[in-house]
Amino acid sequence: MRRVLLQMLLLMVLAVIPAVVAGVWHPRRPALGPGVVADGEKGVEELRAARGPIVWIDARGRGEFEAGHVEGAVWLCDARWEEGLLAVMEAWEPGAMLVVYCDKADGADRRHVAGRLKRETELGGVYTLKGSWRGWDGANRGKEP
Amino acid sequence: MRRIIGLVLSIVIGAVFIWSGGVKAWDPAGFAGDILEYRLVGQGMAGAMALYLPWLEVIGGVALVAGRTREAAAVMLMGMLAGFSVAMVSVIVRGLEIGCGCFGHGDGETSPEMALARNALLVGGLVGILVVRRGDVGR
Repeated sequence: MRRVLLQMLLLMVLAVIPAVVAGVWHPRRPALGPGVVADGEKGVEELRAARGPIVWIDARGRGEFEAGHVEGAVWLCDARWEEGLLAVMEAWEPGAMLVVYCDKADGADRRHVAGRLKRETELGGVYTLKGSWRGWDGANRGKEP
Repeated sequence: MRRIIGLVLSIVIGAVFIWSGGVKAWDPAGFAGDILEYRLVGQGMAGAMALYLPWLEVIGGVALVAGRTREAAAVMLMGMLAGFSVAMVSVIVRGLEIGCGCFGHGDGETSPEMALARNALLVGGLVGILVVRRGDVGR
């Protein structure tokens, strides 16, 4: 048993060596610092007062999106990222704000999608919606289920 | 006969881990993105895991094929599979729509349920290797 544990430890230590080498020299090494996050959070009132176009991005599940969403919102999720990203880029225009919303109380989904969107597109003006999307004027005017 | 079964299992399962680790080690940035999709860790931790875990799989696979370290590799790889399975279960429970990313960034088609079934199969094989090994030692 002791021999097995020692060998396991050795294997785990051995794996550190190529990992460190890859972390320094690999051309596709990942970032080890804090991630790219959205430009901030915007409340419904603030968005109502904002000038310029808004591209709404729905970060919820497909079923929830189809049951109702902010009018004109684009559905974007990890599983169909490329497809959703294409729709976002088609909806985007210079000066537009991108506002990502979800239904999670902790906002994990909208933060995740907003961060990934910003990281991959390097667009400015990517925000998450503070609070519920249902407070927006265009809420529930989405596709009929 | 037992030894042949043990050897064949070790080679097959070892090759699976060498392959899956190698594919992810080739594109650690892509694998870090896959880890982030699980929404369990932040970017820094995902990056560190994306650099380390593929090599642990490759070294575990090689050690499984090599005779002297087979037991240690089997136990270590079972531990890894248990960890991956916990992550898969959390994906299912939270209703996230993501691929497992087990065989690299392009592995977006394997659902967490399928990945869990595959993990169970691999654990079964690793248990088989340990049983054969213990049988050999006991003789």
